[in-house]
Amino acid sequence: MYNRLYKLTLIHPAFEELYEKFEKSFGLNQQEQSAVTGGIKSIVFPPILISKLPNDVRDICNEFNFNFNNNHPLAAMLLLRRLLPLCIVRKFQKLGKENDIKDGDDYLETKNLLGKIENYLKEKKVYRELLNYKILTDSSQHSYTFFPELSDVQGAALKIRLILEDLFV
Amino acid sequence: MRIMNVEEKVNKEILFVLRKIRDRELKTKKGAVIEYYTSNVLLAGEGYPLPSDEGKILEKLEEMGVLKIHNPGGTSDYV
Repeated sequence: MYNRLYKLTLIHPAFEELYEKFEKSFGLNQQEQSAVTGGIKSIVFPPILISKLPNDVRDICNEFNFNFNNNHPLAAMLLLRRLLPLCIVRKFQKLGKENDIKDGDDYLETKNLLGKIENYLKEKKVYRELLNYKILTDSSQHSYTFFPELSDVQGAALKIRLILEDLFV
Repeated sequence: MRIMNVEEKVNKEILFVLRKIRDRELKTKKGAVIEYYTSNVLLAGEGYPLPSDEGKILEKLEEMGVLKIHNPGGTSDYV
């Protein structure tokens, strides 16, 4: 593939008028722009939620949205696997209760972290549903036969989104 | 995942080209001809035109009366 060079002269003010019209009608607004990576619009984790998250959790959500939008289910699922324990750790740090989720110098495993966060969730139903999806996200990393579909990813992501909204909004 | 209809997709692609022209315009001396290079990589995601479609969009914009192309069809880098 090679570049082609076009030499142009703009016709004013027609160019500006068309440019403004397209920006207004089809461009992203400021809130959406803050939640994009590489110009791709977010789908699963909405901009308003993302703006309220700790920085590293926000980065993962943006990266997830990018992979999800570009049909990369495995990459998106692996990001969810990282997102889940991280958001719990950040919540406990925010509460000043980091020691509650440590065993010596190390943090507890994700399963135990989930057990710890249950009491801080307003919606217990979300916690129970999330346990089922943990199998899915874990299998994405450990199973040699399971490859997630985009619909699997979306189901798991929506549960994690509910947890994020419960913890940080 | 929501799929854009054809009109939405094309309008996004036109916006991509308009932004690129605007970028080139801001970096070009006043009154000088604007040099627009089509992309040499395929960009992922809806709303990004194929490199071959960028030229077609430029022609469409010329038809709409917002710019003039001095070298129709463009010039290859290797010529």
